[in-house]
Amino acid sequence: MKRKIVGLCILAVVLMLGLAACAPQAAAPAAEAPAAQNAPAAAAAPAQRVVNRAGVELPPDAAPLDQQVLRMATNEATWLTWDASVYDENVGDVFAWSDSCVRPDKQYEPQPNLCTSWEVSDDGLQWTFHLDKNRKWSDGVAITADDFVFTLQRFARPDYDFEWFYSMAGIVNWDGVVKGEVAPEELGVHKVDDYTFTITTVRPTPFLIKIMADVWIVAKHVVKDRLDDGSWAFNKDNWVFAGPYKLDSYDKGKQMVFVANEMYTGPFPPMFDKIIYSFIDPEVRFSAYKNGELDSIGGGYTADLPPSTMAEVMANPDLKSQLISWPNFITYYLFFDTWNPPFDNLKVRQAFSHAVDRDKLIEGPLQNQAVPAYSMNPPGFPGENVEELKSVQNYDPKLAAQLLADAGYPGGEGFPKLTMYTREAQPALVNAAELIAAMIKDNLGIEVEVQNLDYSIYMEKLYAEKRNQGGDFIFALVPYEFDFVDGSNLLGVWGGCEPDGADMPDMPGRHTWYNKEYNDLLCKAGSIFGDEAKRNELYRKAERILIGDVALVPIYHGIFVAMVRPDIAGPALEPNDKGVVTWNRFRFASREALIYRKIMP
Amino acid sequence: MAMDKPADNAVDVVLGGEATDTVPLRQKRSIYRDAVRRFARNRLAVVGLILVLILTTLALFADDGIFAFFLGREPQPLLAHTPYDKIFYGPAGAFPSLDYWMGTDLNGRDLFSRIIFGARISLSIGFLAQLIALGIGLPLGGIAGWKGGKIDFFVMRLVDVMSAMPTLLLAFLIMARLGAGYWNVMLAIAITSWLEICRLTRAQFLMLREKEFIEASRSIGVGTLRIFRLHLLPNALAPIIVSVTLGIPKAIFTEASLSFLGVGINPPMPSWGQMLGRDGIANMTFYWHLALFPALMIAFTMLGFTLMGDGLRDALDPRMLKDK
Repeated sequence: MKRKIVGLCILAVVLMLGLAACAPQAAAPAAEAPAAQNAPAAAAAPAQRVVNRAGVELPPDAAPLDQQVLRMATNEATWLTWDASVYDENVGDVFAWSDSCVRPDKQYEPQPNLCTSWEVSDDGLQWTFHLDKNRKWSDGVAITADDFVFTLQRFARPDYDFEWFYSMAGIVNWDGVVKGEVAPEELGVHKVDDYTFTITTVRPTPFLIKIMADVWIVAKHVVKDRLDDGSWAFNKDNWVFAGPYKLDSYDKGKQMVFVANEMYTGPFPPMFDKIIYSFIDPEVRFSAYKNGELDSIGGGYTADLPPSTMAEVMANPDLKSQLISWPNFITYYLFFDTWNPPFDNLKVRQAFSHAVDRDKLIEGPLQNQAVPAYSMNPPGFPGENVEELKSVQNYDPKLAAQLLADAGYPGGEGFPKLTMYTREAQPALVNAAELIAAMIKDNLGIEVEVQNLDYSIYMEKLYAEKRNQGGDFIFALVPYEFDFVDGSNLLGVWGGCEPDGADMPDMPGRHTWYNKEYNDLLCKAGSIFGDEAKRNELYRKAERILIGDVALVPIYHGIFVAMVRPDIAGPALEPNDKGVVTWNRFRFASREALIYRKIMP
Repeated sequence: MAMDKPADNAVDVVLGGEATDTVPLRQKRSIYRDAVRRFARNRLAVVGLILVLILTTLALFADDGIFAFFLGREPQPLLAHTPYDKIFYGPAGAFPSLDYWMGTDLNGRDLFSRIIFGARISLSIGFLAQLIALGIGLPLGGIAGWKGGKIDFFVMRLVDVMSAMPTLLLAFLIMARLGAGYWNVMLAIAITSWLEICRLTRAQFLMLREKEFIEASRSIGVGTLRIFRLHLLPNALAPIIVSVTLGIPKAIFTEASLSFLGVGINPPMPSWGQMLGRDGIANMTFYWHLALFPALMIAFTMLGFTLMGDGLRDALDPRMLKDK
């Protein structure tokens, strides 16, 4: 009997110990600091301010220095810098290696950065930029007009995947320099003195200043060769930085580590002492975040926050409070090859435009991530015409079927089997694409297969279709995110000013669609100085043509979502004047430099 | 050795030119009958066979396409509940329940129906790819083994070169070039699978070529093709059957891998590998059913065919045939 009681007592103790050890994990990362837990010093007396290695003093509620490490995740890419590639380069290209002439503020208005002031000539054709004389590269060499001239000459090369963007500025001799027909020195970018340079354009370009926000400079004294493909950055001897951070180490396959740049003297002094970007697969980032290994995930169109993760987050109040979501200026749309059958027939395109039930998409696979789109410009974007265009491509399956029959394919008979290409679609988009395919089959009787393509293969096929004025890339789904907030930006994907004597493949815009009136309107609107109302009126007129001619079927505007740990604070997380908190990437807002880790109460 | 083919169940015993008695012979025996008996005694093999039969039934009767074809109407779902691309059949992301046996995917499509149609895709690719591989490997291996010399040399070098490449990588490269799609996948798998059949056939023909009965046939002028058909093939068949059978799960797994990587079957046509790779992995942490069921089906299919193939190999093992 005694033995039984002793045995039961021991069992009870063991069980209690076991239960205590296996206490349920907090579903959300409780306010655990990444490094050892340091109880904050007595709150009463003002503690000494934390100062990072760049000499930046952090706010009073900052956590100790060893905790000022930002841990993020990213996909590994091939190149390191903006001038090598914009679609296949690693992070740090903009907040470490480089800096820009101007930076957009939270209202997307360009503010002085490397360029302290600028003026435009009366005829609107020449811009003069004045540089900050105190800015230096991390090796002590001054940042001068030479770097700007060299950078723009460097961007004007044929193998650069973002050359098309800078060509929108209409700089004198741009196309000639790209093709190699004109010497780079003839490009309309000239040094006046060490801290002044001019840009001359072919026609007045009021939004040039906004394009300058994306001119990320290259160090002339380091790169030297204008046509270098970007490999210069793999040589450690060339590691010279202009941004608030410096690349400290690059472990291929593992991570990139950045540290605060003590030589930085610009308007966005780095707050975090160190930033670690780990190459972690998107599928496991959420688990890492919940474990407290990452400080933030999401914020782009990556696969960080697939539908299952969103479902889990929305069901958990703790996690939900860490979710930031904001409407982004991005449009996902279906497009066609309008230069060849079957999509050269307007009625066919119209049939497609009435066959997609966007509301069903938003309720289903795109929950929490989208608003329906009936136009290229999203709500709130300059020149937008959302209200008026809503009804042009409304959902009307009967009309869709009728139009297809009128076009000669009643019930989809005789229509070739289609393949809808998607560009590295993230999980929600994967489902959305299949849903669109199913709707087309149900409403039009056309068989559609969905094929997902690698980013670079997709873009290659897209450009080839235009170059060859035909091919098999006739139907696809793609997003376009804004580059700068101006009426010319999103509409510029479809056209612009026509170069003299251009053939169809050389026409502006990246798709196989052409409309002369559209191009004339865009060109005219793009050259008006000082009358934004007039410009936007012209953009609205142009968009009416775009949507009416069904160059595209807009599907949705994205709502970006990100999760940020509660102990991350700073000016980057303050709302803009619309009351919205955004977590935009550094290219649009100096995010990495304007956050720090605070002590949780 | 030549197959014993007793002409009758009985034979007249002839002694000294006169029929004296009629002696009943033992029951007809052939290696195949023996094999069937040995197979039936092997329990694991029977389990494999049952699994394969279940899957084949699912694949054949997912919808009534066979009947519909002859009756000239649209196929209706039979064993499946709905066509595989019926969106919003149920609520999006529903978990398994009595209404939706395996739940629904994020577009509200019934997962059970998609799994069953997936069986059709997987099995048809598995069988047909092996048939095509047989059609390539058998003639090539046969001619190489029979003729020998230069032809044998070149065929074997071709086989050696292709064997040096990992099969999945080669299939992936072929798909990257051809583009995704049902027939392309089949072609890619067939191109990477014919090697083993070719080697086996060649080895068998080489061995059989030396036998006396073949020499005898040739000396009396029997044509080559007839020799192939009547003597060589039937004797070489046993290991080839086993190879083809064991090659089916390999083909199915290759297709699943290709679809998982995104270069196999394109949606909305369902393939287990594709369902796993697109929806399953990304949403596994919450919508577990999207990953579990396709994975289980791949596992069971592989298991069934492998057990059956192993059983066949044991049953057709020539060493056992010695005691006749």
